[in-house]
Amino acid sequence: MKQFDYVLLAYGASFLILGWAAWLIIQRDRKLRHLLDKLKKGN
Amino acid sequence: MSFIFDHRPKQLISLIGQHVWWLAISSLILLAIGLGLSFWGSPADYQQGDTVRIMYIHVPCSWGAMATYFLMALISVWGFIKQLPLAHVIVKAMAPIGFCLCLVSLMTGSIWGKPTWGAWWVWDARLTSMLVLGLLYLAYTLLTHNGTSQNYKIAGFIVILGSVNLPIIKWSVDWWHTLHQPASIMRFAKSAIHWQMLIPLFVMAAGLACLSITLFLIRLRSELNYNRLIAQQIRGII
Repeated sequence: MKQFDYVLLAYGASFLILGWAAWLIIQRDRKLRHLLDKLKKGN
Repeated sequence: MSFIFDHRPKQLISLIGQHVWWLAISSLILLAIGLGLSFWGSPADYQQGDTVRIMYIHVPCSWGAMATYFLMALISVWGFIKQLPLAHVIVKAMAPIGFCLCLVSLMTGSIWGKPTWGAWWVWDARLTSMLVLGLLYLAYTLLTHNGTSQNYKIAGFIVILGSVNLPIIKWSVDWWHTLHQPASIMRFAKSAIHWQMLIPLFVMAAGLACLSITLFLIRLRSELNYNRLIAQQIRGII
């Protein structure tokens, strides 16, 4: 592996982890807000 | 800190909704500029070559992981003293973000170690103490996942006790002979890094800080909404 390949691997893996975490956090937030809206409309 | 505690959960949720967008956009802009500067706006190191560019993601993530844990410990102490349940909700919202930053720090450090030291991992004092930080984050997250108030108390104590690890991480490179390089930015003497490398480092740090705050606010809103949902369910049963 060349030096620059290690750099690309580090940045790629970092943004994959951070992006995946952000996606999970946003999805959970959306799901909970949707559930609360549904309950509010039901009442 | 009292700024957050002065608000009721409903007020806090609407406040988060107002501010999360501009924070998210700022973090994306800062990270884009930071990435550009890291790859094209900074020179390669005379010894390490291009691999030094890993520093621009590795160092801000390490700072972030340690700063998040420090804040978690501080808020836990505040929560125990003032008997504030919201403090535990805030700490719970922070933990996974700190864990991700710690994971990225460990992983990028490992990738940087291979071309520099010739090994993916060494049981060096700095690396081991950072791994302990990751395990502390993991322990807290597992304990508070669908946890009872008793679990929150135990997890809070773990966070406070685990904060002993923070000075060990910071000064491990001075206290022991390690492969990891000594401090070159956060030190009492003048920084040992050239400004051409410091600028992308601080832009990336600002971008990651903005991203962490954005994700923390979204997590906090989720936790507050989750508690509202549980409270509504309990009311429905009663």
